[in-house]
Amino acid sequence: MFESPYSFENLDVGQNPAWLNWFLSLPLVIQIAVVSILISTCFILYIQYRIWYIRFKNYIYNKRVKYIVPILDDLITEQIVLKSNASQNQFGEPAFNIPNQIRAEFRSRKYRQIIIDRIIKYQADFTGTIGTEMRNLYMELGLDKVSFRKMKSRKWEKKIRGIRELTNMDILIADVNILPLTNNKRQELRSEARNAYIKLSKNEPFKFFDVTTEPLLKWDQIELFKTITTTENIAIPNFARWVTYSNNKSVVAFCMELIVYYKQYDAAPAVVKLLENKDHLLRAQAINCLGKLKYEQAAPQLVHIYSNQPLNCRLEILKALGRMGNKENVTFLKQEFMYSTDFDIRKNAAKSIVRNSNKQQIDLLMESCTPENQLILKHNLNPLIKY
Amino acid sequence: MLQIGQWLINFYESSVFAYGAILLLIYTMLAIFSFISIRKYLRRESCSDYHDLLKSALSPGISVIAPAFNEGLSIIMNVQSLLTLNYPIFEVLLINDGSTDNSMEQLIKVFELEKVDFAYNPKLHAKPIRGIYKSTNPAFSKLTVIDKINGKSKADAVNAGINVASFDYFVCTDVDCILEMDTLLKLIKPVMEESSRRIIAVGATLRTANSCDIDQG
Repeated sequence: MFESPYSFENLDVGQNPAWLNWFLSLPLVIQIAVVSILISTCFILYIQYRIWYIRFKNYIYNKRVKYIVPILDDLITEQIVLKSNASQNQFGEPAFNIPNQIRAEFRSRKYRQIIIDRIIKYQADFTGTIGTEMRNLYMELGLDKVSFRKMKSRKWEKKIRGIRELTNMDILIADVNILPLTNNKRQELRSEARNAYIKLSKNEPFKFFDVTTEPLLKWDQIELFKTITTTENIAIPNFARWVTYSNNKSVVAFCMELIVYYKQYDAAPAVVKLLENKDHLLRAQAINCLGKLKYEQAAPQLVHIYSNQPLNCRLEILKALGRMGNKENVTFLKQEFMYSTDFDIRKNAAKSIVRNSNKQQIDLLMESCTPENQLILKHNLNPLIKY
Repeated sequence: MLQIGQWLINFYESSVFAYGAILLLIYTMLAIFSFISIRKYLRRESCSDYHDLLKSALSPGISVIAPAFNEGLSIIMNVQSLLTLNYPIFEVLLINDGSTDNSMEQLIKVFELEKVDFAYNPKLHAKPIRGIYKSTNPAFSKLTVIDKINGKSKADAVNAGINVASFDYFVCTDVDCILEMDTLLKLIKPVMEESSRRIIAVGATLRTANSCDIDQG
């Protein structure tokens, strides 16, 4: 039978190196302490090495920036800013007159990320012809291929970087590549892909609303909202479509925000149907949406459902009635203001009453209510108090 | 007897060693986990643009609650610093917790404050509020000063602030703390990224600024 020469039975202390013999002769606790000290020392040395490495990397990066950025800036100033039709010169020839040596430097691995970042910065600062020329320069230097390669990387942060570069430069990404990423498990990548899809898709920028199964987080909504509301020439659909058919509650909630922003009054009937939804948060948002749209037709229904609603929905109903500006609702609001025992209900009812009543009516109400309610009314009447 | 004494000494030595070793091991583990977590955080943060929140109509409001007790020497500069925070919808609730110096007089004079009839719901226990002040100058419309009887604790002053707060989210700070301009943007982000987990509180790094020269916060 085979016996390992390293088994404890065969361990011959005399054959070991001197340092190992010394180590083995130490008590166990000291052996553990020595190993711990060695590991800690190695760890500290590694950390110090990392710190120096990062500093060195930054130093090299700054040196490269200092060298290449002025060259690029000069080129952009000469050939794009001062001559805004550079790419329309001649067919078949490079659109930009870049010396071969500089062209090679621009394409070299060590400078290309700096070049990409700089061109993107210019692209964001300029619109119109200069913006288009920046895009042409980016493509002529083959930097779009670099961004596409990043997009196909296995690392999610690299993918994001690639998508962001292509989106900023307005380079079309095929639906087949970007659409699956809108449902990616990694939230950051999902969010970036959705933004890119909205920005770049020319036909149906909101198609991913149909396929998205992951929830739109509040942060995603803020980013999407910014992309949707700032992208030029975007085809805005009627968001009632998703309010009616989407099974994704976060998509429905987000669409209601967009309905309010784009003042889509046609979508109000679809929002009214949400008042029967079982989710009270969605219901509250639907009420809020109807209020901001000033959809007066929904007021009787809001008053009708009021008594069966939880507090958040009740408060939204009171606010909505105030926003709708219908004088007929004031009686209901007064009733809630006078007889409710909940402070928030009285405060919101008072706010809506103040919005829809004249001074005479307010004075009359002030005389007939309790000192606490008078304080609430005064609070809402004071222009110095915003909320 | 001697043997028992020797055994006790050995046992004591081994216990101290084991305690030290376990403690070091725990610290090492914590350091490793922190390192992994910080790396993950930095990777995630490299993809975020906090400034999206600045222009968004969807940003939630935040109340900044800052109690002050006898901070007359620096109160004006610190309140001005709080008012310059980078965030679209916020209010600064300054609680004068029964200061015996001239803090309140300074505030009234510099920020053109006026006592207002302010209705609030005292959900949390706190010492009575003497008055609530708002500025007549639109430049300071975000400022609300709460003048209350001293509650002998910061918690009492914060409770008074929470009772008056207009927004669902609040930041507890001190008047003598200097907040970085993007603090509110960075604090609210984890809350807005909640999906299955519900985030109810977030923290931030605190550093001492002793012996530092600070200009305008």
